Amino acid sequence: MPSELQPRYELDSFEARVIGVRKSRSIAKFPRRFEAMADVESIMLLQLGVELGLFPGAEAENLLKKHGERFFASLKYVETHSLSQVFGSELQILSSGMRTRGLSYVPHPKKLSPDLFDSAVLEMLIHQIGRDFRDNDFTITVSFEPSEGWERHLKGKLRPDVILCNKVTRDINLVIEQYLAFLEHAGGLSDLWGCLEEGPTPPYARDELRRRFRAMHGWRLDLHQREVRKRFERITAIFVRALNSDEELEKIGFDTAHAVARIERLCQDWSGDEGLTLDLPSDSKRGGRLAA
Amino acid sequence: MKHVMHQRLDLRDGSYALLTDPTLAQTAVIFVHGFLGCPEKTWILFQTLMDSLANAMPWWTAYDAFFYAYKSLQQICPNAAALLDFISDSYPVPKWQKLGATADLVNRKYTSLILVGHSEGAVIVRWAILHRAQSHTSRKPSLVKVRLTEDEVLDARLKLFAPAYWGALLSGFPGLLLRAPVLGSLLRPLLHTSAAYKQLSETSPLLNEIRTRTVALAEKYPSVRAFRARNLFGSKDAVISSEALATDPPAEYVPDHNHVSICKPTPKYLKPLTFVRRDA
Repeated sequence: MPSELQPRYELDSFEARVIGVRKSRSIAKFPRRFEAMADVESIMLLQLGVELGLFPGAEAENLLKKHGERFFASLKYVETHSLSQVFGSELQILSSGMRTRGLSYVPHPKKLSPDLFDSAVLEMLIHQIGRDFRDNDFTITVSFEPSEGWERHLKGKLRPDVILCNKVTRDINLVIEQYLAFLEHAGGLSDLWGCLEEGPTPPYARDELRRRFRAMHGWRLDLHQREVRKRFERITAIFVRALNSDEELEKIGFDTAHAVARIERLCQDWSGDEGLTLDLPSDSKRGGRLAA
Repeated sequence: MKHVMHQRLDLRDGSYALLTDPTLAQTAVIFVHGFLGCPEKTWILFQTLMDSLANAMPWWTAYDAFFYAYKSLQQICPNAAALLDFISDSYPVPKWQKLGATADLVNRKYTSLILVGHSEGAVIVRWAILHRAQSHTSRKPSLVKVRLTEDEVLDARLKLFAPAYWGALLSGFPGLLLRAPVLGSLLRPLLHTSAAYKQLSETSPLLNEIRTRTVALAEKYPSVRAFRARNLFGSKDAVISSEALATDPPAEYVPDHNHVSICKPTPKYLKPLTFVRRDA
């Protein structure tokens, strides 16, 4: 059932977290492209929130109007810079709807009824996207950074205690910190989809919601893009190799093959591709511990 | 002072000793590593700096250093009992055969003992001392003080690096994985099979027992040296609560050192070598 609790609060929180300040140490390098895509994701999420009864329609419309100029510019940027394929048919629906209706709620042709979902799970899904993956650094590093800049990120020695103390330097430690944050985010989403599966939501509604979430959010790590996938695999290999050679983990009996399987499963869930496998070098592949 | 190099002697179950000239040996120093630690790496560079800096720190030429190995994932109490056996076999006269040495060694008799622990190792040292004391406190009350005062092991000096008697978190990759629930969920069940991991939690009744009993004994028998310890912490330790027991001398803190680096001397960081000194 749709939530009746503090809808205005939810919308305010959405504006602050998702539309408002976008924190990133490297966002300045790719401001237009990144901001445009993040804006389009925000508009889609806002529309979905209204459709699912999470946000009050009139006030969501006010929010759209408040940021109207910026949103229209971002929409246009995405359409004209060959980025539209990232969002697929969802972009066409949004774009044509907003051109016809202006800055207002655009009914989706496959409208989902709020009554089909557990509103608490829906709220958590919106929060998961808005809260836990908003600093954008991993997207910038893996998806946007040109190759010479990308290589610089991999320098340095991986030192877990530096990450644990939150004193990471701008090298491989920062990338691994972001990588782990991404895995947590993907894991959080996976758990929430699992909750929906256990509830009364019919499969067609669940699948449609999942498809739409992926369409609007998957651009942040598009594992179907060759270069993005290669970079993700390289980071995974560095991380798994470090786990493999760690004596403390060995003493505990930790098997990195299980970690690789878990990461692979998260990637399958994230990308919606059950057949996705990570192509890792032999010393970081599943199959048990290997020599350092 | 005569310059001597310590000679390595392998002992049972991965422990080893670095032995000075038998005519100079006066003090046995027993090093006890922490959770997931190791008798080599936990104390890295102690092994070489005690010789290379002998001119500046001549007292090391009178020390035999024993680097004790144990299974740190297992229960603290049996580990402490095993450490006590090792101590008894090493001090005051080393029983080389019992210690697992195969070499034919000249006998030596020490006049003092220093017990050095890091993190969980410090907890095990303190429990071993309590265990030793218990063998006397269960006797006739009128004899207890005499027995405790006369016990050579209870006259040991305790030098503890980042002791974990207030509980400990994990550092390194295990700590990093635990911070990330998605991968930490693979590690947690393995750790929960470790008794020591559970016993080192902040709310551990065992740690509470160690603290309470040690403080009570130190207050009741102030002349028994081993009930008090000197504690050295790194100011950047994110694994343990950096505080000594109420009856210990005030804790010492070293800037810019963390839980791992606090007990590893380097040519630029000599504090561990001086901290372990008998008369320091």
